[in-house]
Amino acid sequence: MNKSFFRKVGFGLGVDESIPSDPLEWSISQIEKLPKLHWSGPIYSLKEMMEFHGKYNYQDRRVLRKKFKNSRKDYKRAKKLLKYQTGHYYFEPLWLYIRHNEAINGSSPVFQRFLHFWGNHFAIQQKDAMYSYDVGPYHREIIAPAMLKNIEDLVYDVTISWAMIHNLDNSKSIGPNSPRAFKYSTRGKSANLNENHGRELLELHTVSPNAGYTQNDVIDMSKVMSGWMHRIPKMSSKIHKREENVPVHFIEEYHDSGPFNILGKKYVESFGTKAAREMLRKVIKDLVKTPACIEFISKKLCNHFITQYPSDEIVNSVISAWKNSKGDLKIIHSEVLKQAYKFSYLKKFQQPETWLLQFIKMSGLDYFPKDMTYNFETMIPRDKDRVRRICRNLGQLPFRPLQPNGWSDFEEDWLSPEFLFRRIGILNALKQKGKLIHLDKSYLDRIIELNFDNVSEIKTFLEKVNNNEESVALFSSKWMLKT
Amino acid sequence: MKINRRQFTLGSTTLLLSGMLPLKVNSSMIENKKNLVIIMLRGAMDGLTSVPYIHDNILEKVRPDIVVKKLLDLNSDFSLHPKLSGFHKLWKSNEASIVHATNIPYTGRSHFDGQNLMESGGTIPYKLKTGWLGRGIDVAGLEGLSISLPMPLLLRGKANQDNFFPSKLSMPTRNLVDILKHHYNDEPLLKKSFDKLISRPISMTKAPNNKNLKTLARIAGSELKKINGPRVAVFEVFGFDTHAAQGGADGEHGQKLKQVDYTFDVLKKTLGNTFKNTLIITLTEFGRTLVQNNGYGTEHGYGTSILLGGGLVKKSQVYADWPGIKNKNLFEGRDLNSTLDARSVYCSAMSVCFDTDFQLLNKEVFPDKKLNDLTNILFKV
Repeated sequence: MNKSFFRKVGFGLGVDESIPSDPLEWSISQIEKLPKLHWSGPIYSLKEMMEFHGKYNYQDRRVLRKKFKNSRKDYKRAKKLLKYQTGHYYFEPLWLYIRHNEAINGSSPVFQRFLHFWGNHFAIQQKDAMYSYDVGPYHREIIAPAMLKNIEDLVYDVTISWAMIHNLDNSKSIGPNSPRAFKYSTRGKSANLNENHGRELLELHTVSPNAGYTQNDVIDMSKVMSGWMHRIPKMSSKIHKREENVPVHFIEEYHDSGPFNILGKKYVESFGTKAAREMLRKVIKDLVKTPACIEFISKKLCNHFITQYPSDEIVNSVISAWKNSKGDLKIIHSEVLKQAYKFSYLKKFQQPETWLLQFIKMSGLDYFPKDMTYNFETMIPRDKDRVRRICRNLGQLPFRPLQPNGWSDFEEDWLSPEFLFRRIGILNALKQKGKLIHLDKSYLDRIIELNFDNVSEIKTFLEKVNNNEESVALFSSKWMLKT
Repeated sequence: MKINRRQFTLGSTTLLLSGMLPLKVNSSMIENKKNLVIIMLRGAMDGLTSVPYIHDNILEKVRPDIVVKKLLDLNSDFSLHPKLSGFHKLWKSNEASIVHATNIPYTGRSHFDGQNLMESGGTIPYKLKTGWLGRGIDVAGLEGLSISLPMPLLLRGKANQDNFFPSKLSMPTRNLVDILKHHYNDEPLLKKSFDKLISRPISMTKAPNNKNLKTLARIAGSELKKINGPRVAVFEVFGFDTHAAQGGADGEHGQKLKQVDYTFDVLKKTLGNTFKNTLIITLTEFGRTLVQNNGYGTEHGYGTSILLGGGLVKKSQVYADWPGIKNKNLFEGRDLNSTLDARSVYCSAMSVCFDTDFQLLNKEVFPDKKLNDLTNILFKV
C-alpha cells in the first residue's frame, strides 16, 4: 500500500485513525457531497461579512476621515476602534482556524484539499482588506458548493461572486456601446471598459495564454462582462451605507450588447435583459469546453496533487475524464484521485500550509484555541491570532496571495534556504516550548506506521537522533517535505 | 514619510541582496566595488504617470480625471511625478536619468507572463528557469545572498544563492543538523538549500525582526556599504496595477511611486560616499494605456519608463527615441510604443557594475538578441 497517498490527497492520518482498507474509495467518497461543517465555534455568513466590511469602509471613508480631518492622531485612534468593532483583526485568524479545523478534524480532508486548490485557482489577491472579511466565507459559500457541480457552474459562480467582481474591478467597467456610455457621450464624457476581470477570466480562470487569445478577445470578453457589478440599481448619487459591499447585480444599462467575437466564435445577443444576462454564462460554457482550458486546468490539478511535471499519460487521463463527463467536477476530481493513487510513488514538494496541516494532523499538536469568540472592543488576544503568525512565518498566508494568480505550486518557489529554515525553525521552537513532548517513541512509531511505507528506514534514521529531537527530525525529513 | 502599514506587510515589499565579494580585499577592490540595486515594480508601472510627456496637452485630454498636476520640471519635453521629489533632487545633481518609451520585448499584456519575462530576460514565458540578474552574477563569478523569504526568479542562477529574512526562529542542535545534512544528500534542491542555510555567518541571525521598507532599505544601504558586503540588492514593490483609482498626484499610482522615491532617498542617505559607486534601476513588466478608463484607472499597455539613479549615472537626461503619443503613434492604437529593448539598459548596467564585458554578458545572459551597448551613453564608465 502507498500510504503517502493519504498525504498526497489529504493531510495524512492521525494516530487515532486506522488505515482505510480501500484508500481510493476512502478518498472518492469524500468528494461526492458537501461535508458537514465540523467547526463548532463562531462563524459568520458572507452576507454578515459584507455588513462588517461595508461598515468598516463606510465609517472610515465617509465618517472618520471627515470628522477627524484636522487631527491625524484622533483619526488613528478612532480607526483603531472601528477596526475592533468590525473585527478587522479577528476574522482572518477565525477563517484560518475554521479552514484548518476542517482539514485536520473534519470528516473530509480530501474535499478540503480540493477546496484549497480551487480557492487558490480563483485567488483573491491581498487587496481592500478582503482577506480580513470576505475570503473565508467566499471559499465556503461560493466555491465549496460549486465543487459538486460542473466546471462551468464553478467558473460562473465565482465570476459573478462579489469577491471576484470587486477584486478584479468589474464594477468599474462600462460597455462602450451601453446606454450608460451613450449618456456619458451626451455630456461630452467618454465611457470605457475595465479589462481586468475579462482578461483574468481568460488567462487565469479558464483558457490560459496557451489559447492564443488576442487583445480583441480580451476586449470582447470584458464587453460580455460589462453590467455585472456591485452597485445598487438606481442608487443615484445617494451614498449607500455599505459602500461597494452590496450584492452583485446585472445592470443592463452598463452592458455592451455586442456582437462579440471570442476565440474565433461569434456571439450575437438577442433583445432583452435576460439575453444580456445570459451571455456571460453562454461564453463561459464555451470557454470551459476549449482544449486549452481543459489541458490548462487538468495539468494544474495533476501538478498540485501528483507531481510537479506530470507525464502526458497522467494529464491525458484527467483530460479524458473532463471530456467524457462534459466537465463534471466530481468525475474530474475522482480521476485526479485515481491517478494520484496509481502514481503515489511520484513525489511533490508540499506548499508550506499543506505541510503545516499534515504535521499538525499527524502529530496531534495542541493547536486550536479553546475559544474563538471575540468581544469586538479590544485587540484580539495573541493565542487567538497564533495561526496567522505561524502562516506568516512560513511565508504563506493562504487568504492573501499578493497577485491574482495565487500561490505557486512549484518547488523552486518554495525551496530556498530561508523557507526551509522556517519549517525546521518552527518545529524547533515548538520542541523548545515543550509542545512536542507527547511525541515519545511509541507515538512516533504509530505516526510512521500509519503514514509511511518505508517504516524501518525511517526508524533507523531516527535512531541516530539525540536530544529528544526525533519529532523535529521526522517532520523535517525529506519523506515529509516531499510527498 | 508616513508608512502605511497595509502597504508594508510581509511580502508586499521585499529586499534581496546579492553578490558577496570575496572576503580577502585589497584597496583597488574597495575603490572599484560597485553596487547594483534593482527595484521591481510589479503590476505594470505607468511610464506616462511617472514621467509625463508635456506637449500638446494630450494627457489632459485623454486622462481628464487622473492627469497629474504640479509636476516637477525635467526638460522641455518631459516632467516628473510630484511624488518622485527625492528622485528629482538626484536629477538636479546629475545623479538621475530616465529611459523612456522602452520595455522588455513582450506585448501580450499578461502580468504573469510579463513578470516572468522581466525577471528571466527571455522572450517565451516560463521557458527560462533562471533570472537575468542571476545569470549575470554567474558570469561575473560572484556568490549571492538575498534578503527575502522567497528566492525571486530574477536572482536565480547556476550559483548557490542564499536567501535570508529576519525572524526569531533558531536552528536545532548540531547533532540534528549533521544528520539532516547527510539525509538530504539524494535530494539536490533540498541539499543545496540546507548546505547554504548551515553555512550562514552568525551575523545573519542578528538582523532586526522588522520588515518594513524603511528598515529593509536601511539594511540594504548598510550592507552595500560594507567593503566585503553584497554588491546587488533587489527590492520589490507591488500594487502598480491601477485599473481603478489610479488617481492624480495623490492617487494609488502616486502612492506607489512615493515608495520607489523613498527607496532612492533612503539609499542615498544610508550609502553616503558609496552612492557614487552605485546604480539604482527600476524594472516593470509593461506600461499602461494612454487613455483612462471609467474607474479612474488605466489598462495594461506596452511602453513605459525606467528610472535610473546613483553616482554611476552619466548625467541627467531622458534617453528615448520618442515615438509620440498621438493616435497614429500608439502601439495597437492604445499604448505608448516601445522603441528600445529594455534589456539593453539592464545588460549595460550589469556590465558597468560587475566590470564585465558587455558582449560577454549579452551572449551569456540575453543570448537571443544582439542588444544595444548603452554603457557609454547612460553610465560613467
